[in-house]
Amino acid sequence: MNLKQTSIAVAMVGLLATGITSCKSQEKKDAEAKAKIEAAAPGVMVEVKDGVATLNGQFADDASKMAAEEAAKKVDGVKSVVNNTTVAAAPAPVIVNPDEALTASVNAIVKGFAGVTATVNQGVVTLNGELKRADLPALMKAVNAINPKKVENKLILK
Amino acid sequence: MALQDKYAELINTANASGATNLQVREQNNVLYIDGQVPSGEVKDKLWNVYNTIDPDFRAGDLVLDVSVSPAAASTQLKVTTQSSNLNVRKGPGTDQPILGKAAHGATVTLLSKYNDAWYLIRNSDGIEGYCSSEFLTAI
Repeated sequence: MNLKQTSIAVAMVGLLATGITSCKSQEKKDAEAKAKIEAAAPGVMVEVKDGVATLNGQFADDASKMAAEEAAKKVDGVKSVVNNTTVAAAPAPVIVNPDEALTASVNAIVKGFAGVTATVNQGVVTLNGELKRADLPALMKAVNAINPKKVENKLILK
Repeated sequence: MALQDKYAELINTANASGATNLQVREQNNVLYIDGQVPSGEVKDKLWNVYNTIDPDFRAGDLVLDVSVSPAAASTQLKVTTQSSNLNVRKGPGTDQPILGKAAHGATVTLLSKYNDAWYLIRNSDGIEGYCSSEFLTAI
């Protein structure tokens, strides 16, 4: 064969070789798998290398964490899943002051608001009496700050 | 999540206004929102949103406890009026009742800034109230 024919032959063998081993590069497959996992499990951070998907990020509960892992495993091009996601710690319970403390706090507050009385029962602070509507926000701001369970506004507003 | 949806505008406003350490928790059908906000003006804005969602706060399904971040410890300001004393008022406005005075040339402690025009201070008598920032200068 002459040089030109040899070059063409080599090129064709090269193309054929590529065709036999894979139609796409591993990189492209990994990128496609990553996109599919992101679509199946939104919010999760994914990296895929050589078919191994690594998941990172945080979920609200264990069920969501496992669902993301299952979804990733089902994606074409994913050989295995490394699940490094965490579950957010449950929020700290709300602090409610005991009734004696609430009573003392709210009585100090209503001294500054003539016509208002307050009662406390199992964390619920109930406001009674009469008040000008314009003064209500200031009263409510103060009462909301004493760690009540609930604030019941039974005031007659003028 | 229903209460968080009801008060979504309030939560979004808090986040957009620079609230820090914001906690939103629901317990026994009451929503608890805690955190800090950078100024008294932001706090008032949040309470206005609350009042819009629940007029006159009748529902009793939210406890809103946002505090104003205090100024850096013991920030001292000097009263720099021309010669008169500076009124210390109950609220941030010249229509607000006067609680006391800060003498011309005296030092007051900055507690927090309501906004650019009004500061919450404590005077030498221990009275806490609002003064016009125009006449207060950092020492």
